[in-house]
Amino acid sequence: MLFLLVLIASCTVVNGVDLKIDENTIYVIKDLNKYEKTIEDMKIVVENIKKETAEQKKHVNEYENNQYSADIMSINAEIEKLKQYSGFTDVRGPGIYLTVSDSLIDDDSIDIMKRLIHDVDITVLLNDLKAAGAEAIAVNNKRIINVSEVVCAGPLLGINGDKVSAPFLISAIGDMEALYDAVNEEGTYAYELKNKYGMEVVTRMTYVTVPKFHGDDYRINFASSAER
Amino acid sequence: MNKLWQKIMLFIISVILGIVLMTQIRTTNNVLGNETPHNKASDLNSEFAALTLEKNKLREELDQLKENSRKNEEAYKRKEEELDRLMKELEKQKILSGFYDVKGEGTIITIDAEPNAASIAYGHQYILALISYLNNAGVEAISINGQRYTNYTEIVPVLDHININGVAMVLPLEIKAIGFSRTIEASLNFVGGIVSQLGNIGYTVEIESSPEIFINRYDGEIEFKYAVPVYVEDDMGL
Repeated sequence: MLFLLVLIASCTVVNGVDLKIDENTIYVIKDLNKYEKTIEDMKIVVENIKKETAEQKKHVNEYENNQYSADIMSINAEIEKLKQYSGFTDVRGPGIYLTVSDSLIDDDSIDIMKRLIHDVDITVLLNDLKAAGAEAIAVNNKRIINVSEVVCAGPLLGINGDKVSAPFLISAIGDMEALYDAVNEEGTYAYELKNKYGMEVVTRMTYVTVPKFHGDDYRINFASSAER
Repeated sequence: MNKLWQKIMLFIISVILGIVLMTQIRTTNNVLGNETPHNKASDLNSEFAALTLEKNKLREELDQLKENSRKNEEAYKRKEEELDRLMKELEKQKILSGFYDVKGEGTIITIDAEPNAASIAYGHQYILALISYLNNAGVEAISINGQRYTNYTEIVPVLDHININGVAMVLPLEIKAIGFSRTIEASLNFVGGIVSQLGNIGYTVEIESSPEIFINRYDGEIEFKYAVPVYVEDDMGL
C-alpha cells in the first residue's frame, strides 16, 4: 500500500513538474494553434499575391512586347510620303510666279465678258503648267490638288471652298524654263489671254514656296480603297 | 493469499498508471512536438515576422506592377487611338494620292459627240471645266477612260485627240467620279452648266449614278525633281 501511494505521488510530481501541463499551458497551446492557423492563412495569401504578381508581370510584358510603336512609325512614314504626292505638305523649289488679272484696255470691240478672267481661264493655265511638269501649284496660296475646284463665284473665284479675288497669283514649282515657256510662248493659252484680250499676265522666275492643301481636316466620305 | 492479491493489485495499478503516464507524455508531445511552448512560440513569432515582411514586400511589388500595368494600358490605349487615327489618315492619303484603287458611291458620265461635232482636242477645256465642277460637287476620285486624275494629271490636246497621263484617247469618254451622286448631277446639270455647254458644241452627255463604282489607281510613277518639303514655318518668299 505504501508502495502504491509513493508511485502515485511520484507520478503526479513527474506530471506536474516535467510537463507543466497546467491551465495556462493549455491556453498557450490553444493560442499557438490559432497562431499557426493564422500563419497558414498568411502563407496562402502570400502564395496568391505571388501568383497575381506573376500574372501582372506577364501582362506588363505583353504590353511592352506589342509592336504598336513600330507600326506607328512605319505608318507615319508612309503617310508622310503619300502626303507629299497628295499635296498635304508645304514645298519649296524653283519655279514661277504668274500673275493674271482682268483686261485693263478700254477696247469696246472686245466683249466685256472676254476681258474678264474666268474660272476656266485659270483651269486651263493650271493644266498648261501641269503639262509643263509642275510639281506643286497654288492659286493665291490655295494649293491646287486633284480634288480642288476652280469655279466662278460672281466676281470672285471659288477655290478649295474659299473665295479668292483678282489679281490671281499662281505659284508653281518645277523646271523654271519649261514653266515659263508654258505661259509665254506664242500660241499658249496665256499668250492668247495677254495678246488677244489684253489681260495682265506677268511671269517671274524665282524660288517658290507652295503651301499645303488647306484641309488637314479634309474628310473622305464616299471613297474607300479597294482591292483589285 | 492476501499477499498474492496485494501483489496483483499493485501490478494492475502500476500498469494503469504507466498507461496514463505514457498517454500524458504522448499527448503533450503531440501538441508541442519536442519543443516547449516557449520555443514553439518564439519560432512561430519569427515565422510570422518573416511572412509579414514577405507579404508586405510582395504587396508593394504588386501595387507597383499594377500601377505599371495601368500606365501601360493607358499608353496602349493612347497608341491604339493614335494608330486608329493614323490608319484613317493613311486611308485618306491613299485615296487622294491616286496610287490606290478606290471604290464608292458615284456617277459615271459618258461623253460622246454627234456626227460633225468638233474633235475632243477642241473640247479639252470643257473636260477641264467638267473636272472642276465635279470637284466643286465634292468628289473624291476621278478617272477618265480608266486614267486616274491625280495632282499631276494634265489633259493635253494633240491633233484630234487628247492625252491624259500621257495616254491618247478619243471620244467617247467615260468619266467616273466617286462622291454624292445627287450633288454631282445637280452641279453638272444646272442651266448654263457644263452639260449644256457641252451640248452647245455638239456633245452628248449621259449621267448615270451607281451605288458602287470602281476607279483604277494611277499606274505611273511620280518623281519630285524640284519640290522639296518644308517642315518649318517659312516666309512665303513673296
